Amino acid sequence: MLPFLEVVNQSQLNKYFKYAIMRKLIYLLLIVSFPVFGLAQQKTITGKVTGAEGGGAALPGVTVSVGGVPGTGTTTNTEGVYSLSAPANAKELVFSFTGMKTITEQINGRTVIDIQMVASDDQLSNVVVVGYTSQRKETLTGAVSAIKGSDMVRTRNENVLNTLTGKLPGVRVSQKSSRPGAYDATIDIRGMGAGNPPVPPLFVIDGIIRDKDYFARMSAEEIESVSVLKDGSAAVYGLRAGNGVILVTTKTGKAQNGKVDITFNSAVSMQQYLYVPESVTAPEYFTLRNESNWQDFNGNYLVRRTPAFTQAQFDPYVDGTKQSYNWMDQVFRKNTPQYDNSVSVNGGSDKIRYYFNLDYTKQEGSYKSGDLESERWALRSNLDAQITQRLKARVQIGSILTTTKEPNGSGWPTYKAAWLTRPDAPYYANDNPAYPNGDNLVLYDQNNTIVQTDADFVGLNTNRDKRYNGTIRLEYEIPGVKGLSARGLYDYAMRLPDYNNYHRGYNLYRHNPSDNTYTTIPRAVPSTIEKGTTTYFDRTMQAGLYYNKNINRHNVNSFLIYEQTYNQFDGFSAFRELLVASEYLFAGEDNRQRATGQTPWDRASKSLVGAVTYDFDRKYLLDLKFRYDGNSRFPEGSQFGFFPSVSAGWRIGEEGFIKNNVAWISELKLRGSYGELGDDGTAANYPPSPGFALDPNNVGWFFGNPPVLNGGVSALPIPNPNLTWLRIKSYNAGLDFGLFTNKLTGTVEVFRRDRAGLLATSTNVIPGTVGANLPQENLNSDRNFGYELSLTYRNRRNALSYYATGQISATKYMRTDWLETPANNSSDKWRNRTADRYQNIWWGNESVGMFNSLQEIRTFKTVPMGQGTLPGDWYLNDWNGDGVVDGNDDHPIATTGLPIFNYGISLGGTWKNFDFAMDWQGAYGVNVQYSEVLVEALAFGGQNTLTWFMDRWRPEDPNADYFNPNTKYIPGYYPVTGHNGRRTGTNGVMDASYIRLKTLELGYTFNIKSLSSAGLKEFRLFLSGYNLLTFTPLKDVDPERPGINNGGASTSSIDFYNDPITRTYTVGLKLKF
Amino acid sequence: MKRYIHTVLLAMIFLSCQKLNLEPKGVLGQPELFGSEFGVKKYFTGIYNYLPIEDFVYYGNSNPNGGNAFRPNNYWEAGKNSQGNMSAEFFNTWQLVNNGGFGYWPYDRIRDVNVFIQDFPTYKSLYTTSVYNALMGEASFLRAFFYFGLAKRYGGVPIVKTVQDPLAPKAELEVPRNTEYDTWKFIYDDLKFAIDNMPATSERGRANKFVAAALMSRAMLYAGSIAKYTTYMNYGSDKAYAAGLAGIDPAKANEFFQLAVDAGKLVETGPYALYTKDYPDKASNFANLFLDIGSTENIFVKDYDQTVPGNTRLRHTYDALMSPQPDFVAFVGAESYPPFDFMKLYDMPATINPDGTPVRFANRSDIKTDMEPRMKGTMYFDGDVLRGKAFSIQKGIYLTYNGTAADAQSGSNAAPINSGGNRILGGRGKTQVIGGTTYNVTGAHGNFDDQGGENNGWGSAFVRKYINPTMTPAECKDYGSGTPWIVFRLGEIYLNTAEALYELGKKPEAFDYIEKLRVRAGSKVARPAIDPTLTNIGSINEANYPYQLEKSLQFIRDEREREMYGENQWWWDIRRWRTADQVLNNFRPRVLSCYFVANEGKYIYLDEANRLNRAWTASKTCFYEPIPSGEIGKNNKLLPNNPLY
Repeated sequence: MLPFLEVVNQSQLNKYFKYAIMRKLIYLLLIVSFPVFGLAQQKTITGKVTGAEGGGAALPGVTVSVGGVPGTGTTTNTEGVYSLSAPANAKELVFSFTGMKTITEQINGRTVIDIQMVASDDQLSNVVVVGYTSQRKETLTGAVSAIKGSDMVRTRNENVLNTLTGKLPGVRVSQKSSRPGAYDATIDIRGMGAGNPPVPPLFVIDGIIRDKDYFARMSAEEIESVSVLKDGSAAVYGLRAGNGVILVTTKTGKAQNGKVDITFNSAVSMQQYLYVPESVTAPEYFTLRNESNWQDFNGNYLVRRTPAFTQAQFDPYVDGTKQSYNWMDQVFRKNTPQYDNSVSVNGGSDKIRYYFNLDYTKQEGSYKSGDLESERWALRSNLDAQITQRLKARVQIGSILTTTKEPNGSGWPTYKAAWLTRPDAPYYANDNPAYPNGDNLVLYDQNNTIVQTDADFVGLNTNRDKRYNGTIRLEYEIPGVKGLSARGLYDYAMRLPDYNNYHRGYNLYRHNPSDNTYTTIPRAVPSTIEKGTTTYFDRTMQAGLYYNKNINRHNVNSFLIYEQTYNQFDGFSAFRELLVASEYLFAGEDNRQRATGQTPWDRASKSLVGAVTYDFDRKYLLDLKFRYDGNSRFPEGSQFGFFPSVSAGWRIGEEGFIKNNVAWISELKLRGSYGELGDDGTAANYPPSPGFALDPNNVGWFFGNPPVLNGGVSALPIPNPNLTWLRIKSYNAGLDFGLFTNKLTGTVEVFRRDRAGLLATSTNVIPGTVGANLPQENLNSDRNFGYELSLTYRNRRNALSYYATGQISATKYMRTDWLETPANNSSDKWRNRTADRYQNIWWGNESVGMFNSLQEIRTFKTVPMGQGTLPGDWYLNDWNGDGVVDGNDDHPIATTGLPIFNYGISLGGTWKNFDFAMDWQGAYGVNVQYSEVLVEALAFGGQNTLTWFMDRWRPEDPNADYFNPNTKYIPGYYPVTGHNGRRTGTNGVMDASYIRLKTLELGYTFNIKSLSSAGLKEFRLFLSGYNLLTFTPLKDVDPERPGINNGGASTSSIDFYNDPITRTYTVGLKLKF
Repeated sequence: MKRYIHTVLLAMIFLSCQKLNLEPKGVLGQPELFGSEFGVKKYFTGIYNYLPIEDFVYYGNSNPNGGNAFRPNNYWEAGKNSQGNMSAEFFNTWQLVNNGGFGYWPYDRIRDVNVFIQDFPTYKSLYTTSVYNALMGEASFLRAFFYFGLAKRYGGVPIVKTVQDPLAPKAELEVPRNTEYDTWKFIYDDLKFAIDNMPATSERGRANKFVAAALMSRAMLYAGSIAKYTTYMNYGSDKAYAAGLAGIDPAKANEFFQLAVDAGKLVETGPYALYTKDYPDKASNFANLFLDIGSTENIFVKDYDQTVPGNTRLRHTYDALMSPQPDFVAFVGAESYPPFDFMKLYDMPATINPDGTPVRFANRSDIKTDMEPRMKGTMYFDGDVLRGKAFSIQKGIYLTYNGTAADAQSGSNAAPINSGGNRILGGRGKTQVIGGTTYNVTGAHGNFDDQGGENNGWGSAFVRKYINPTMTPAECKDYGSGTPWIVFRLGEIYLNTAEALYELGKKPEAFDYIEKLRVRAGSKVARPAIDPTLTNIGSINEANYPYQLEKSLQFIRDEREREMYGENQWWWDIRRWRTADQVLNNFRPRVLSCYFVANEGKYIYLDEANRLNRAWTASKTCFYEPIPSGEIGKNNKLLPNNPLY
């Protein structure tokens, strides 16, 4: 509209902006206030749409809209004819159809417009970001998967990682919990870095290396696309690309001749907690306790034990004078809301373009107190300016603020504690709400979970994660050489997380029925306050030359970039006791106050990155890349490494013998890659140097009278001057195909990654008497290998266009060379050594069978059974036949670690104004083990237990002698309470394969011709669900809940007490002006 | 314009070129540490922190939560996994004996000391001779302490006194074990050097000449006992025994006993005296000896404070795990209780009349009448006041008790006198109406019939030693305790000297030391007559020793336990006496249970079996721990392994 900047002065510019934006905002307000609006002047345009192929057959179902604005258009009928009412001032019509090239036609006053559409190679001609540059997908030679932001946002989740689940082959995302503010999901590419702890891939956001936590907290709205570099093509990130690279591109303003789009997204979700076990009621609890008591052979030897709970204790619950206390209901909500709102502004002219997005998300947690919640503000501003004809600038600012609040007494043990609180434990002493119960006799670990989750009692912890970054880029087209440009960028990022833990002293009470008094039980005294801040500063600088040249059919793209980074870390915290009623540090006591500094560090890198991408006639493809990478974490002289990659492709489909003879093949490409990469992830911050670290948090001693604490030092490892990074060789071969005019497209990949130089210390071979803190050495090697397959089918039928995508991937992992203590003998080697072996072996023993009667136990000959054995108990396999069952019978019984394969299926389509999508995700061949509360009845010394343990073996007559051969038993799933037959052997290994409907979305875009003149361009309503359906053989437990052995997603055995994963129902709308 | 752009781009590349050789932050070098007295102290701080002191945070058993037994991970639990619990000195429902050991192998700390001994001479010119010698002496003391920790577990271990290069040929690094005799002699040499070079005084928490002598006294007594009694183990042709790696020629016993006596007498020349500050109340005096930071009896003390950083392991949870919750503490409550078997070592009032019937007491707390004051200072009984509340301990009610104590059949449900509702047991707060009067069935602090080991008074006493009464109950929580641990005190040195003297045949002189302790203890007979009658029966569990000893020597041994109950010495004593497998031979600790006899309005105390029937058993494998198997894999020269492994 206005070719400004050169011709418009500043005040005019301001005026223009004000006008454009103000007008949109007014429209927004008007539309929100008045759902129905007057009609503007209209005219009708008609015409017929035909296809270029198939002899000009009519095309039904083609979307025709005014200026490409959704909701303003119509679709062609079965004869390919359309009739559209358009505003009198409308300038152009847009014709779009799946599998065809979109056509924009100027109206120029016509009322009849016929159109012929041609097939597009849309699916393969996409541009894919591949690291420092982008490439057309058709000429891509590396293993790169990409996903558009629009395919991510349909999964409604606070964590962007979870919107990738199941949508990218070879990318595995595991959500470990839904705790607000935790952003607790792990991601790996082809199983690389899946371990304990998991090492995530490298995250590069708009060209700058950031981290997984940054990505997780981004707004899905601001993401344009995500690319995943899975093979040697990641070599352009050299030393840090060992586990693959995830490239994220944020949205850019689109030149619209000065027009502006304002998009408003709003969604409200209801979260439901999945697979939350409940605990038993009081009579059930008493029953189980008594059973456990009576089965105890040691206590039962001569004289039957008195019941732990007498009939007199049962009676009040049976006759209704007392009710069981349902702690789960009292502590947790079943449904909690979540909100997500965003506003984005997108527009500009050919001189200046802008994209702004502001996203606010709030997620509430499950505590009934309402004190667990997290909110996030994400702001992004991307500005592109054409400063001169040759000089372009881009300024990007991002900031993400996450604030999480949780009661000081809560955390991972909260669910555990609620499950374990006895059903006869009153919430309040004497049921008087003024006196929260603190009776140690009935409370687990003397914690009253209601109080523990209520910040009014225990105090509030506040964690703020604050990230800011700003990037400026300049691009200059160098005169004289066509295709040569210089680019530079500078990025400065900081992360300033802080925490404020207010640990409040409070009182619990015990009621003394004898004199009706309350004993006060002071807890958590004195109150304390601890505050801390950590600072991270990162800066990145890049400068480089890009050269693109097309001569005849030779196409060359190349670049050479210098990059350097510097990262800095420091942090400190302060602690005081609070004796006055305040929750602030200033009011704390001087006595025992403590300030703690974290060990600061800094790191630097500098690198030279280059690439030459050449193709001949878009048919023969060759890609050479390298990175010469230097890193301060390694000793001088061995800081630099060279990481090359080469990949090549042949588009067989473009050869005449196929193109001219096999009509149904539209695309066929063979490609292969080899790359060398590095990984500095396990190196320390500095090259090893002789010396001692001040280690006051770990080492101290009191000297003097009065005693004064002295901090001490720890000896550092002996330096290894030869220390270097992991050396990785990555091999990949792939086949891309498109069949039937690209209705069916697919990719097959096979890959292998060999790592050498994994760090290890020789502790395993050097006798301990040396006593040295041994240096790390590059000693071990391992290998990942596997395959991926993905298929997509897209088609249309009349007004219906639809797609189906499926992908499956598998990875195996083995240790090739591994330094370990020499085996003492061959069975030790077989059982305990790992070198040159697959690492997904689950060692254990079979649970062979179950005893059905005491008679069976008595006559059981295979192995001796303990005196306390009862019907319902399992016997294990005497695998080595030595007459006893012990650790020597262990042998491989299942796989552990990575699933045998992961897969995902996506289906979707549009029909008229409706759109629909669903994403399934699954894993096959994944085994887990749980422990403690989840598998043991009355765990932790007779505390409460989960309802599923009621399905157990017990005598028909509860008063029968358990060991009398005449006693008749009722079978159950679990053994007699107190026996562990479901926890050992193959019984303890549970198949956690699953398939889960991760996303289901249904949308409707309104025909709002009437409002289009008022500025509304799009109005869409949608319903969406997350984790709606799950199919799994796993009993009672969520298959994504981390267990002891579930594929490296779990970092600790207590993870299975995490806040459960949620199912969410979302209703939302999108308004675009 | 163009020039400007070029300049900017070039500037970005060249002006800000990043250096990769960054100065490491947070690292100190040897000159900073070894070059000044304060630096050396900082260096020694870490070594002191790791000394094998069996204190409040020590896991007597292999630690179930990982980590070193001396620096366990989840160490609030140390109180219920302590050595006293493991060896049944405390009755406890969590721990049993573990004969396997926990792979203690502190050669990393020994290397730290060796580095100092090797490199410190370079800095000699910076110090006066006396300071230099004192620091070298201190290093020797520290090294001896680690070797003592090793020798008492494994017998002979590799003696490493130089700094080895880990990259040296493997054959050089595979150091074989030295004989047990040489190992103890090496400890002697190091301590002798320490004694000769260190001054007589030092700041609190740091070694001096007398601290070294105290360790010498303990270590040499240990070595002497091993030399004398290992022969009774009948290890016969066991390879390690035959090679002198496990066991010492009995002929050497007196050499070590004499060294123990000499070291003890050297300590006596120091500024120490038995603690008598709170006389005439000998019970309180004995209790306060463990709490008074200025106690004249302390030779070496490890201090704690509840506010230190957690990973220094310098705070503990002892108070919160020894007394019932919530009246006395604000954590899980009592986990460990003195068994009746140990109470019987002291002067106790009779609980059974000559005719076999239980003695009737007008009040529960009358059990303390006539009790040895030292016992009252070691344990809390009914009526004793702690933190403003009185202990209330009772197990149940007998409607009538017409019979002998034996009729209760150790508390069995099957005994007629316990049946038919005559004996009433119950849980906390349970009441019973008898003849119109309502009685509490139990005391407020137990003993509860319906509960396990946690926070339930098993028997009639709670531990008093090391309990800090000045804390409020709310302060007695996890990691809430800062009571110092006394590593060496004069009382122990007297016991070491007495035992060594007796073993050397100097019996009257031995009893001079016993007498001093028993006067302070308030025992009825301060100096019993020497009884040379031979016996092979021990006092706890009527252990059947594999050898005979004079009754007075057994008395000295018992005196040791009376004096040092709960100080983590007993397990090591029954090991070095080679009696552990008999003392802990299916040992089922007894509990002393108090009952109210309703028709008489009197109380009786009955000797009962522990309701859980828990039994502690140690086998002969416990006298030596196995060399850590991983270490054998790396160094075959550590073989032969210890006897029975």
